[in-house]
Amino acid sequence: MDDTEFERFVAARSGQLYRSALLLTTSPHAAEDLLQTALTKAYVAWPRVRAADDPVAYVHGVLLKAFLSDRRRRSSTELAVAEPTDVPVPGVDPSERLALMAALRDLAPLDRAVVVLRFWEDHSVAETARQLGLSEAAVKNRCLRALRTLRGLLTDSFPTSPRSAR
Amino acid sequence: MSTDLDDLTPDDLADLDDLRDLMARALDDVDVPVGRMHDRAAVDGRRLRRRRSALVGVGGLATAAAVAVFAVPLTGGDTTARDDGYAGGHNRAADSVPFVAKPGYWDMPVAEIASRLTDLLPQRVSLTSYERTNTDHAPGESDVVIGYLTGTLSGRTGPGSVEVMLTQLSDQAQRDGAVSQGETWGDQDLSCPPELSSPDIEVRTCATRSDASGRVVERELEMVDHGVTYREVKIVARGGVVYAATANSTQRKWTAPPSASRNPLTLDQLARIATSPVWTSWAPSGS
Repeated sequence: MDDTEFERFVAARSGQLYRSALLLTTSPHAAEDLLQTALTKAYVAWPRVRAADDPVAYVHGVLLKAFLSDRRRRSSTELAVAEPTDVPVPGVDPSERLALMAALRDLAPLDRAVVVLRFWEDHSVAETARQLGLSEAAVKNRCLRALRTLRGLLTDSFPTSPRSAR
Repeated sequence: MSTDLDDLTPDDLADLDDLRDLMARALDDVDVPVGRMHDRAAVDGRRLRRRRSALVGVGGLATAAAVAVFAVPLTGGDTTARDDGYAGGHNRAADSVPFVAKPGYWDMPVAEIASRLTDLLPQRVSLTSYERTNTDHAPGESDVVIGYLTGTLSGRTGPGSVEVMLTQLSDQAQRDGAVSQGETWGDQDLSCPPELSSPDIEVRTCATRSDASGRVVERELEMVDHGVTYREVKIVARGGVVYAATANSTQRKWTAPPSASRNPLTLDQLARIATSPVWTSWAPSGS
């Protein structure tokens, strides 16, 4: 077996994986590091990834675990500090992304993971609960709390959003 | 999408679609460095797999007991990137200079290791089986086992295990070996275990040999763990490490019962095998 298969996987799936990583970490640099960690693990365990029923879901799971374990490891030793959230892209208004990242950053990491799994990756409550090791009730509670927090934050800081336009 | 709709207020329901739309718009133009991602994953992955291969031996036989006792020196440091199954210490110091794989005797195919080991075994001891195929190889890696042998020996007193591991030392590890107390070479620890308090584990022998500059370049170790005798010889030589180990148990897990009353090889016999020049004199073709 050569490297082509893995290369194809990275080319086809990195975009979606990176976007999930960006929502989870809210930082381009941290997202790149997280994706790098997940892809390296996928590379090392490639036979298992290939043998999985859904290799893409497998690597998304690796990425999520890496995020959660990294947060646990950091939480006892690090204080959150402001960091640059984006690099301007010519011709693109970054204000929506900046506002979204700022709002997500205000959520607890686990609540953020619930939001990403439920509303970005479109997982069911049951699947989200399974992936995060939570009860379904806990997922629902965290989901509601996160949505209400985001609504308040995005209304205040994102006056042109569709939500605040209603 | 299945959702907990009963729990949501009208505002929450409106938020769901808004949030999805916002996420889609906000991330639509995100640029992903795909090429860099692939290249770094491949480089880091190969390095980690080499590290894991090296630690298969470390965790396999003789040091299985030692690991249980002085796991901190062996596996200290960063433990990230290990929850998918690959094990072993991640030495930050050894990572300050990227690991560069070089051709060397550590690239010896398992069949060659088996052949040379067979020639070195004492009379009435034979290699009865060994793992020939790497069933967990990474993309681009051969399924041929390279650089290590794990197998079963038959002896007069019954069957036992044997491992031979040939490992490349990184440039950084060689420099670390020169500046440390001389007992640590990157991931390779040649220090003796500390005094033990466990009644189930006994260090019977631990002897080290140093080179002219005072660096430890060889360690011979014999330990008894839950009735199984583990013997190990580890030698730093020619930019790599030769590791040989044997046990009077054919099961590769801690607290496994003995498969024979005695180990198939004495420590002296094992040392003669590990110090034989047949390992370090080999070179891959074309190198």
